[in-house]
Parts: sequence; C-alpha cells; structure tokens
Amino acid sequence: MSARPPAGRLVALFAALAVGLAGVAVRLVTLQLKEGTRYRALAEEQRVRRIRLVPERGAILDRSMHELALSLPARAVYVDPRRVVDPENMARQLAPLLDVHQPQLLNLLRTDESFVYLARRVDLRVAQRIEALKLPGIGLLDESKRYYPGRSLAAQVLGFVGVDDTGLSGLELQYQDVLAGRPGSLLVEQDPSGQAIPQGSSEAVEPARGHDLVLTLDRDLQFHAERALEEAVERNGAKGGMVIAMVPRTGEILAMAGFPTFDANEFSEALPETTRNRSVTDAYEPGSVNKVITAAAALEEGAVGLHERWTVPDRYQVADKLFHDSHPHPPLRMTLTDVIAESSNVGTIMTAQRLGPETLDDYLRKFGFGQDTGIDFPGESDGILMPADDWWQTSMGTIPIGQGIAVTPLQMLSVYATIANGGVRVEPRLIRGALTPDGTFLGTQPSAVTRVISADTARLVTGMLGRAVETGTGQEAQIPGYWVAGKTGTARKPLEGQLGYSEQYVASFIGFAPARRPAVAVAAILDEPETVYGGVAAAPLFREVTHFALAHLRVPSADPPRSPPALVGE
Amino acid sequence: MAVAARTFPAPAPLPRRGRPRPRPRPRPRQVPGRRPNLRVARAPRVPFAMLSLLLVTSMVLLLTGVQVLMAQGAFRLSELTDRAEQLEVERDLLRLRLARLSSPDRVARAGGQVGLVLPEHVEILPSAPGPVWNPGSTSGDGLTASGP
Repeated sequence: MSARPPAGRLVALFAALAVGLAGVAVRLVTLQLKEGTRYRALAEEQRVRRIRLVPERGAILDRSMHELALSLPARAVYVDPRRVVDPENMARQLAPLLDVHQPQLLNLLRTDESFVYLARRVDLRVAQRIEALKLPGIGLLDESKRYYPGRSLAAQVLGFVGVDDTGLSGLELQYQDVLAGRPGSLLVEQDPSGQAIPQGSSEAVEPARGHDLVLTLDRDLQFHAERALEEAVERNGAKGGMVIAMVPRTGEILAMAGFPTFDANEFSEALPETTRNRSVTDAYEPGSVNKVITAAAALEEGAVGLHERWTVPDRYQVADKLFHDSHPHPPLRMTLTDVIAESSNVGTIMTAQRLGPETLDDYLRKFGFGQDTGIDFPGESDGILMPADDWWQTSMGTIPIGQGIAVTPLQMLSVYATIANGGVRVEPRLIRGALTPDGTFLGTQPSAVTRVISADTARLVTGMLGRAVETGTGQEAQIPGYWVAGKTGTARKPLEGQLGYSEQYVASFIGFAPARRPAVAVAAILDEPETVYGGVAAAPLFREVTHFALAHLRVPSADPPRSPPALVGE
Repeated sequence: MAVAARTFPAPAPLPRRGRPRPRPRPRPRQVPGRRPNLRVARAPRVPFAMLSLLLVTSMVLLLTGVQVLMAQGAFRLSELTDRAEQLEVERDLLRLRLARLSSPDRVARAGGQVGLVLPEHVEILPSAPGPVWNPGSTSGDGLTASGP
C-alpha cells in the first residue's frame, strides 16, 4: 500500500524552492539593475582595450623639400616586475637588444612596482624581436621616434623633441602645434591572454598626422656654412662662431650655423650652451660693423656731405674717455667713405656727434635694434639698447662704433640686408610654409617691410661698403668676379658681471653680394679668435660662404661689373 | 432517430504485477442507412523526418560554413593588416635610409673617399635666356626662367 507524502513536506519543499528562487531573482535584479553598470564596466575593461594611436609628427623640410627631421613609429618597452619569473634570464636576453647594461636592467626587473619602463623609443625591428621572446610581464607601447638624418645639420635651428614627442627647443618647440598632429584611438576586444579577437568588435578613430614644416633653409648651403665655420674656428683657434646667410629682398634665411654644435639625435649628451641658436638668442657688442648705421644716418640726415673732407686724428676725447683708432696715424683728411673703408673709430665718432644722441638712437631703432626681428624663434633676444636719455656721457663715443650696445648676429645682419635691399627692412624668416598631410602647401605671409633709409642713401652706403672691400679693411672678403660690399668688425668683449672690457675679441665680417643686385647677405662671426681682426679672421669665412652661395644660387659673375662703380661726385 | 446505446465490455481485472494490458480499441459500429466512416490514411513519416533532418543539417552546415568563411576572412584581414603594417615599417625605414644617404655630410664623406674635392673657384656665366637667381621668386629654389 502506497503512502501519500505528507502535505506539510510538500509545502516545506515548495517554500524552500520558492525562497531559493526568490534569492536568485533578488540577486539577479541586484546584479542587473543595481550593480549592472559597475559589472558591465568591469567586464568591458577586461575584454575591451583602448589603444592610443600615436599621430605621426610632421617632418621638417628644407626649401627644396629635403627632410631635415622626420618621425618613425617606435615602441616603448615596459615590464610589470610582479609577473617576472626569472629576472636574471630575462635581463640576459633583453640587455643586448635594448643596449642596456645587464645589472642595470636587473635592478629595474626587481623593482617593487607594477609598471617600469625598460626603454623608450625602441626601433620597431628590435621591438618585434622582443615581442617574439614572449617574456612574461614584458609589454610594448606605441610611440614615435624623431630622427635627424643630417645629425648636427642645422641642429640649433631645428631643436629637438622629448620622449613624449613634445618639442623642447628650436623650431620643434616653436611650431609644436603645427607638427604634433592629433592622437587617435582604437577600441578592440581581446581574449584573457590579451590577444585581439579577430571577429570582435573594434572602433577606430584615426590619428591626424601633423603638418610638415617647410623652412627657408637651403640644406646644401647650410652644410657648407657649417663646415666652413668649423674650419675657420679651428684655423683661428677661436672659441666658437656663427654664420648666417639671408636673401635681402625676401628676408629668407638660407643658412644659420653655430659652432660648437651638437648631434640632435643625441641631444641628451650635448652641452646646453651648444644647443642654443646663438645667432638669435645671444647678444654681443658688434663693434665696427655698427659704423654703417652711423654713416647711413649721417647721409640720410645730411649731417655729412658725401664729398666733405675733414681732419681725423687717431685719438679723440669724449667726456672722460679717450678713444683711438686701431692703428696710430697722423691727422688725415678723410671723407665718410674713407672713414668706413678704413674703419676709423675717431672719424665715426665725429660723424655721430654731428647727429646727436637722439637721432642716432632713432636710426639704431629704425634698423631694428632693441626689438625682436620677427623671425618667430623661441628665446630670441631683443639685444640691449638703452633709451637715449639714459646714455652715459661716453655713449656718443662707444655706441657709434658698436660698443656699449648689444645686438644679436641676426639683428646685425638685418641692418646690412636693409642696405642691400635699397633701404627697405624686411623681417627675416625661417618658415616658408606648411605642407598638410594631403599635400596642400600653406604658404606664410610675406615678411613685413619698413623703409628705413632712402634708396639713394642705401646706394651710397653700398658704395662705401664696396670700397671697404676693394681697398679698405675687408679685402680678404673679395670674391673674383663679384662686387662685394661689406664691413669688418673687431669688438672687445665686456667683462662678465662687472664694468669694463676684457682682452678677448669678437671678429666679424658682414656684407652682401653682388652689390648691385644683392642675392645674398652673409654674417660671419668668430668668438675669441687668436687673430682678433675681423678683416683677417672673419672675412675669409665670409668669402668662402658667400662664394659658395653665389655659385649654388647660380648668380652670374659677369654681371654686375667686377669693380665698384665710382661714388657719386668722385 | 434513436441512437443505440453504447455498450462496452467490462474491463478485465488488472494483473497484480506487470504492465496493464492495452485497452481494446472500440470498434466502429455500423449505423444502418449511413455511409461507413472513411479512414484517414497517414502520410509516411520517414520522408518527412529525412527532409527535416536534411533541412536542419543544411542550415547548420550553411551557418557553420558562413562562420568559417567569416573567421577565415577575419584572420586573412588580420594577416593583411599585419603585412601592411610591416610594409609601412619597411617603407619608413627606407625613407630614413634615403634621408641619411642623401644628407650632405654623407655625400661629402663619400665623395672625399673617392678623391672628389670642391672646386676652388666657380664662375657662373649668364646665358640668355636661362634660369637666373631671383630673390623675389615664389618658387622653391628662387630661380626664374627669365634671362637677366
């Protein structure tokens, strides 16, 4: 006889099941509704990986589209030391690949952190070999590496970028926004081992490549200027030097070299002072090359007649200071042309005194002293030019001959470019434009122009500068077949941190050629040469760079004439 | 019309053990004056089952095939993407190599090694018409085609 189960048990069983199911239901509701968002996020975090897509930094090109700086994809190698099983073995395998000392690597692998960089900006081929080793705890991150194929070529102008692809100096810093581009992202589903699931969903936002920056620099001329500068520094036992080449009519800088320099690929090993573009960032007392402003102002203001001769002694007292010419001579009857050609300090001071401090100060500023040149370069110096009201009593003796003021080499070159350009000052520039990723060229606006002196005055001053090269102090700057106009400079360096001058000199030669239709203006400056005179130390450097520039730019030598035209009235 | 009362035989007693016997199917009774009930002939089950099986199998195979093709396509896409990336790497490395090889420093060194030197003096003679230096030119090298 069969016994029916007691109703109580059935009820109890049902109740137990109901409670159990209710618990499951409550848990489900809790998971789905209350904590659903959190768990969804956790699951997504585990399954979905967002990869930052590094944009390619734009290249820097010279005026003929040669690459001076370019970026290539690279990898950062990192490690999670907690997952490392055999650090010694791992260090042994990675050290030769990463070019790091094994003990140093071992220390990194044994650190008590969850993320440690082992190497940054590793070449892709090396990264692939590391990836193939499948070492536990080792990971790779996308990044890019900057290369400077010319190594030290224009390094001080180009600057360099840090490990995070941010410009740290030079044009890399100044045009960071143009070059950097915009990062993208890639969302991929991955399996627990971190491998991307081929059929998994993915979402990509492509990175936008940065624009290429097209410079006014000419790669070949830049290289030749650097090499000539290095040889001149060594030949003259100088501490360093600078060379700038510029197109007077457009303000385009064709070459801007400094020595000593550095390899931009290894910037971390360079001395800080070698990484500065001293042609723009450092001011110096220009010396006799500044006399051209005094002469131009005197002619423009009619303070001195072109044919006027006056007696110029070799010594001259201004306030409590006695100024003298570089060589003793008896009193000479000189014209302004003679004063410039022979670089007479006394003759220049006497000319300046006819102008007065206010007028001289006005012309110094019109020629661009005491202000930036507009070249758009980081750390540009304005130079030092006190207002005329604050000048010392002796300033009318020092400033006309280029002492007691400080200018950058670029400011000084701009003065000569203004004269070469018929009295019109054109702002110097290093950038021709930008090249978008689709190949569209975006040109920069033409440089701002300002008339400083009349075309007639510019022509007369050009004649004086031509005479300085033909028969005066700048004869070493002569280039066969071309009429060169220029001026020597020999300036004593001020003592650091105190008044007075040292026994060290800066030798310079600044000029342009061909003088009738100038194609290029060049400044050649040597810091502390053994032979201090600009006409001896710097003029040959000017000649070498200018001669190469004229040939490189295919400027014919038969026209204009080989000798300077007679000055008006001579 | 009178309907004959239905009579059923008394059920046989259930055996104590074992399965109950199947209940005998009631026989249709002939009703005088009416047409006999027609028996519905059952369709054979085997072809239907076969057809269903074939259909389901085909669908499974089709879906599996599509999945396989998609997976193959995905893997192929992945392979091609990797290959494209590899080629991009090679292109970039070649680009870098080209830039290094054409740098003036390298060219000057290579020229020096084979005895080449820069000329001491270069004279550019005007030839009309021909390209001459024009600083105001908007072209990259500053040259124009007009004669002096």
